[in-house]
Amino acid sequence: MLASARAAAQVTTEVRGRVTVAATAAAVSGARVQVLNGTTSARSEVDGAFVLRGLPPGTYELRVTALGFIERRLTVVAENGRSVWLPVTLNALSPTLNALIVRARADTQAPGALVWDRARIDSSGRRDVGELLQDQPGITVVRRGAAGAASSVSIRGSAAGEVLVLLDGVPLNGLLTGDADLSQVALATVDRVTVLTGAQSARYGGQALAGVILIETRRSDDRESSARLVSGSWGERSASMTLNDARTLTVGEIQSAITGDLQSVGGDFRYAVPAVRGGGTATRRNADVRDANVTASASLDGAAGTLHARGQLQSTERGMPGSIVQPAFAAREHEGRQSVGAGGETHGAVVWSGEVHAEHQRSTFSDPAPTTGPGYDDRVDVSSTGFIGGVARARAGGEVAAGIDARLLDFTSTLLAPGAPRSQRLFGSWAQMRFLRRAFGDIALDGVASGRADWNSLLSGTAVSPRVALTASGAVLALSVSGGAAYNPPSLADQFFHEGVLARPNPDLKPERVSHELEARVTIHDTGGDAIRAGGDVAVYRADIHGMIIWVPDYRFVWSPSNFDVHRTGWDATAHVALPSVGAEARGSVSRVDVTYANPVLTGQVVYRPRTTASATVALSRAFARFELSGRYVGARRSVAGSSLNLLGAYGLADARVVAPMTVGHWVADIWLGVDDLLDRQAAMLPDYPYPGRTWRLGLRLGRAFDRAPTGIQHS
Amino acid sequence: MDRQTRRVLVALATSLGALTACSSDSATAPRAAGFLGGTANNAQIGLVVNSTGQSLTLFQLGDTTQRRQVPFGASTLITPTTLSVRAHLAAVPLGDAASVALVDLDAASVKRTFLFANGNATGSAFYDDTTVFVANYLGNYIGRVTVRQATDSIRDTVRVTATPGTIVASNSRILVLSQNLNTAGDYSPLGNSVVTAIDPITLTVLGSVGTGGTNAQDATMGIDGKLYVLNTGPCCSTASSLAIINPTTLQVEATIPNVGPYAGSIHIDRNGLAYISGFFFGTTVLDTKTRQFVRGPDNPICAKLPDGTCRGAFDATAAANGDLYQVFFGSPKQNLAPYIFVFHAGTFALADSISAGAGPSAIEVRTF
Repeated sequence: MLASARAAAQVTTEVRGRVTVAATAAAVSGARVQVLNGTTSARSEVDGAFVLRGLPPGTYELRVTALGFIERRLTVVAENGRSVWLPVTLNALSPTLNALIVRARADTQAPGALVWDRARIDSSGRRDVGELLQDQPGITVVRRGAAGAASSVSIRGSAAGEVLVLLDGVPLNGLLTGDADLSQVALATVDRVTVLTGAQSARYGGQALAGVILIETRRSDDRESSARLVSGSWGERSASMTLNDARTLTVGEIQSAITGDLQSVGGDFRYAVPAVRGGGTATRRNADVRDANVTASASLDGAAGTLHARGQLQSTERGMPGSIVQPAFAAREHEGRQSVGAGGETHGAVVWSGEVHAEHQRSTFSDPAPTTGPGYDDRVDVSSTGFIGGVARARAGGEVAAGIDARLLDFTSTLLAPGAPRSQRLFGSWAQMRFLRRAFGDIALDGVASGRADWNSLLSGTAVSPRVALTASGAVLALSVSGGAAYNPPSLADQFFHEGVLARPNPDLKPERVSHELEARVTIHDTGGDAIRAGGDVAVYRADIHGMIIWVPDYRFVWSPSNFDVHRTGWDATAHVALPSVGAEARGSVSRVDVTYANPVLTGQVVYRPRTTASATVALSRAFARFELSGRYVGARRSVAGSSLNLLGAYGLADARVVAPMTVGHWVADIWLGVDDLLDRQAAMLPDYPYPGRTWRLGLRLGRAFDRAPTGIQHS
Repeated sequence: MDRQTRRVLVALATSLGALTACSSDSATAPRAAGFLGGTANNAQIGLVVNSTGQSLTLFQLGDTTQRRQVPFGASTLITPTTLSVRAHLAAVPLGDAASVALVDLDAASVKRTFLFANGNATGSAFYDDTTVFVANYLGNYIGRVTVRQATDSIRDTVRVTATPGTIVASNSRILVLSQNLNTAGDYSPLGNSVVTAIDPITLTVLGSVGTGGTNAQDATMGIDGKLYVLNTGPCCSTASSLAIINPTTLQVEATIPNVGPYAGSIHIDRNGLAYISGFFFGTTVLDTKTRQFVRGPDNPICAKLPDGTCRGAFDATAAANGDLYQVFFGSPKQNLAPYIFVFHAGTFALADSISAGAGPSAIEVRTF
């Protein structure tokens, strides 16, 4: 019975291809490839490559759109369980650009942008955004334990607070520390993740010193309802459901979506105890996590424009197990976040957009009986309201855009000194000009000049951050150069936290600045034929940080933050090879960053920054499943400033994953099994915060696409 | 074996150990082989605790480029600040790691690590060649370990006054200096600091005495057999005082005022010169025989900055020839690198500076 059911089942296929310029064969990044009368879509990567996954066998009409190019429609036949290769060429648009295309996430087309759409997120089998990013070039995710443990991100040797993380346009970075905890963003609620490396303050303002991570929650235009169940090691369980709906009214199409996600992790695991604490093994306790997320969004797409509203509730309750040497058996943390936003944008040659948003976040940290010191019960309450607005106008050879970003924050915390401020006002205004030209016949030029001014009520003066970028793209190669500045204000904790016996805030801290970031990138477009295709990308950069905020002890071992200059240079390289005819592909990346103190006392690599990181993935797609084997390497890290002793050893971890997609009628099912740390290496990024070792995760995703074709007004 | 027999045996072992220690400083004593033997002209070895460097640095005084480094591990909770040395072993309490590393100086490696259940390991002292006492600063007790004990746990303990930070071995007793601070609050003094005498065999408290001052941060035995206790006092400009305590009667026999502001460390050499160091002035020198300053607080020994002010000193000790080796912790904020500064005997003129790793906090000079 099962066999017959299986035989009758249709196995989904995938359509892979590359979008190029018809005249030059240069890659087109950010092109949208959409299945008409369906729900699936994808965006082309920087090398023009795209993948449409989960398509039932059949014949499809695809629509391909990209900024500055004429829309194209193609027909493709997807066979049962096969991967189809589909090259797409586009002709440049001459005079008029549609407004909707202009506003289409132009940032994700930046050279080197890393983009995960819903399909890639689903197929990753990962739990949260931290896990998703952990093997990407130039990105280091610092996790403090098993699944659900707090994790922060470093880009190109930065501190966690030097990476701006925006969740639906609103900073996720904690008010006190400036760090964003990526473990709190469950992927079940996420529609898209984009990472832009390098100085991004010219567009995104403070904290975008080393990069920006743009996270968009599930959107109302997904056009698919789905449910997901996951079970894994260390007591991990999760369930999520997304319900979508679309209705056509006289004023336009109204779409809505709601996603709920519940996750729990037992968290306790055995680990190797370091010699300084006696060696042997012990059990990591008080590492349990309970997460609940609800996101809801609705939009009305009419002739004059689009209105949207969104809301999110998030709650995380977890133990804080402390370190190996000082475990905490009763320390608890609770994070609650409520966020709403509403806005709209016009259609037309000039697009006006705006959104008002409001958030409230409460964090509590308590331990009635720490191993050492008195008990504590601390709280942070932050309320913020803000407005994001912009205007964009497309022209024949480019676009101009400008916008403002205003936020008002009110906060109270037992962790701040009595005299600390209770509110903060932030205002930023930006402008960006982009041009597209063709030069020397086959070379496409893409230039962007942008600048932003930011004002912060807790700092003196206005921070101005310019940036220019130029990309010349030919048939095989693209060369990009960019330069810019960025800044990062000191965190409230650095300046105003409640002074302790061995720690002291520094209210005189200056913002960190990258005054002259320079980056050059060479991209080899995805080239080849049906038999083999290959491409790659190499970026080199210099981005010294003036006044990096680093904690150092003084003569009494009282630790305090101060500004120190830091040299930062490095390179990232990626390569990929695909054998479409046999469904095999391989990808790899290597990153090197030298981030060194420019100080006669603190010398050498900044602590906890690996000079070298690397990752590699090989994948094989078959009719019934996709197999993936990946490895990631993290080089040795210093643990002591100014000393090469006590190095944290390099480690490599291997992960394996198998995904079996199936389609029956309108129902799509994915079953996946992932095993992280296949060889049970039990490594860790930080001392005293061990990883759990081999971890498996089994998941099932069941989805149902809408029967009804989208009948709303089409604007592109 | 009854208690009295054990005490006699321990005393005998102590006497033999003292003889060994004395003879090892003799110019005619056989030298240790290898690195610990020093150079042909100078057999002495400097031992420096690198607190933020989480390591122990050994260097030959005769050739300071010759050095060995012993890493203690990457954990941020490894915060050593002091050491004690006996024979070819060093005990280095690892601070927040609540453990003490026993370092084999011949091999320049950690031989064993002994652990408290929790707390913070600060001062230590060898009672004999095999017995080490370690203070648990936050646990308010001291522990005893033997280098060949079966377990790594520190199980033999005795409670003392709050925040014990320094331990001194004296004849047949262990003297524990408790700062007596409020660790549940802001580390303000609960009262005067206290010296507690402990029987090393039975771990019973033999008696205690207030030091006559607060926040006493260091103590050492003088050549007169007295215990010299540094009453550091409140931070940071208050003049510290030196209490001279009879370790047998546990009475304060004298107090010398104003040995320097916020002084934190004291060493006494074989000639009875006390080197008292502080973060804000450098090192003062007091002749314990005359109780007169050789270099007083108004003219401390220090490596001066270009503006004429003094670098502070965490610690200072004398070599056999009287040269003074002074620890400067360094200041990243002021772009000042850490050094061991060397001052000539007698004149205390600055003679040399030695790079000794990150965050040096304590120094001993020994001949092995």
